[in-house]
Amino acid sequence: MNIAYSILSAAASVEATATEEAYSGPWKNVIEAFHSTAEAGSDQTAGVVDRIQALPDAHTQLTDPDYWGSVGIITLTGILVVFFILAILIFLFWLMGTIFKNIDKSKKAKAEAAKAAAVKTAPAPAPAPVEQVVPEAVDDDDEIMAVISAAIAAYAEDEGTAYTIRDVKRRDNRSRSAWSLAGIGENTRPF
Amino acid sequence: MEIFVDTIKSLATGSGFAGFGVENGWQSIIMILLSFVLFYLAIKKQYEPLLMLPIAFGMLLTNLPGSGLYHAELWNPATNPYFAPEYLQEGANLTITYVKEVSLDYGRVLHEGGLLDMLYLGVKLGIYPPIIFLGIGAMTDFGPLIANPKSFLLGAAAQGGIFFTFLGACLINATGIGDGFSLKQAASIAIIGGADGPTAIFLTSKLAPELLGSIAVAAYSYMALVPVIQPPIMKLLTTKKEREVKMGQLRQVSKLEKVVFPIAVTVIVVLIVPDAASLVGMLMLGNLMKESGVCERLVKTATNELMNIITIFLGVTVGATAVAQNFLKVDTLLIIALGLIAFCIGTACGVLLGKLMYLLSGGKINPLIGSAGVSAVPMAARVSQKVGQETNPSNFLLMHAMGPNVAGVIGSAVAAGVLLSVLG
Repeated sequence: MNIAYSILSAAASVEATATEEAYSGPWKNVIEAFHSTAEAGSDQTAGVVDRIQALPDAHTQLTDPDYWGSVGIITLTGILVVFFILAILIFLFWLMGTIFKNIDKSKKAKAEAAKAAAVKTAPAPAPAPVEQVVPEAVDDDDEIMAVISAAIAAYAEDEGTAYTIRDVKRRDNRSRSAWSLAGIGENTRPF
Repeated sequence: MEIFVDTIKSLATGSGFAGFGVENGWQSIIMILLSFVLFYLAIKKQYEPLLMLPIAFGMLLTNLPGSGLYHAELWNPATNPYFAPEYLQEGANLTITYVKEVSLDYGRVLHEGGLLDMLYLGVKLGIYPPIIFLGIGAMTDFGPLIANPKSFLLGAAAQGGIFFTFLGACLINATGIGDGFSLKQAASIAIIGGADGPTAIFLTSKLAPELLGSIAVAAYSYMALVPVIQPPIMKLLTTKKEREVKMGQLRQVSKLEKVVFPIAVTVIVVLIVPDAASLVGMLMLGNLMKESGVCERLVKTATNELMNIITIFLGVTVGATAVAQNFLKVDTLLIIALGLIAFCIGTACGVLLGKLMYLLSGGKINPLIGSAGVSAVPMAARVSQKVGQETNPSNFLLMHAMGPNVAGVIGSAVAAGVLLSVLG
């Protein structure tokens, strides 16, 4: 109520200063109505909280008939105001994000168009000699098994014990590759 | 010989040991032992050691009889001799509120104060916490929040811990346990739920400075215990399926957006809640210095030397306010219990809103990131990451949780501003 009132009053005063006359715009009636209720309301609330706070200690504050009403109102308005402010910020940054995404898109489209034009005009370069690499036909699983066995053997040697490998299973088929993990690690390190 | 004995006698009576023998001198011994416990927590357990260690040392110094470094009575308007009844002229229209507000005699503090009294001026005048916020701002990347502005909601929800605890602290009055908490004291205790040390100290120094020591110790202890307190609540309130949700990659945020962010937040928040101006303003100034990329030297100072100096001053003076007569009370135990409740409710509120967002988004949002809405940067975000990874080892929630986490810092500063404007 108070916030709405202050926003309305601010809007009105801006308009009033612009014309340098007493405000008589379309908000006049609404503001007058707000003015009377908001002033009465805010005076009353501030008065009650101040009255309670002027009492010397917590136990006497408790005896005030408006104590629980004030506590409830402070709790509720507190939560609402925090949500209200952060909701405004959400809207603002959502708007900003949308604008920037569009700017990015149009920039990309322009860049691509420029690239396409450049490719069309430039002569095709001579094809570079390409060495054909034929991948060796290896049994991947066997190689991985050998590496795991060797690693465990080296570990066991240090420890002075011996292990028998009975079964090797992939730990989690949802896991990421080492490169992906390294990338995530790099990005999240500052936190 | 007599002169020798007299000298020894006067030395003995003037020494701090004699102070333990006076009435309630035993309380100082308990406080000194308590400071040893805090040393253990800071050094061995590494509970927020950067602040806990100076706090513990401040507590030790202030409770050594005769040290004269901090005088609680100088900061208590009720003990100002110029406002004693015999000094008040007959018919002077001085209400209790008026006396409380104006009778803190800074001149007297400067004349009679010790080293820690002088340094405490920075807390009392609300200087240190905003400067710490300047450094925090210069270290914080608001990118994840800008990329996903919905995170603000989770940061707001987690502030529910503050307001519900305010209600809880008032309810304790009705039970009649302890001395009871006035509205200002209840608000100061509730702010522990913001999980933000400087904000808690800022608000408490304005509303209920007599509780500063116990509130700071409770706030920093619980912040260190975030990894212990949060996971059970997070697991209790979410299903395995919800915890397994992998969230899509965040979009790239441009430099311009990062520069506009601190300016826009300052304008909006300060216009609506002017009482949050010093905290939010400094936080955003630090962030703008970082993101603009043109104030490298200032950023370096704000995040290193300046912040470290202020951390030492803040810790040692806040610790010094923990004098026996303020600390050794049933109320301190209640504050510690209420602080824990505030943390738990804040976490629960964040996770519950996360659940709602999970439902509304059709299972795209992992509710675990909601718990990071209680500030405690970056610890709370790390906890979301850890719990998420326990359920699904390939899940990476850290960057998603950083959004609500930094939103929580703004949220608790706004909540402090709201409480200050209503009760200050």
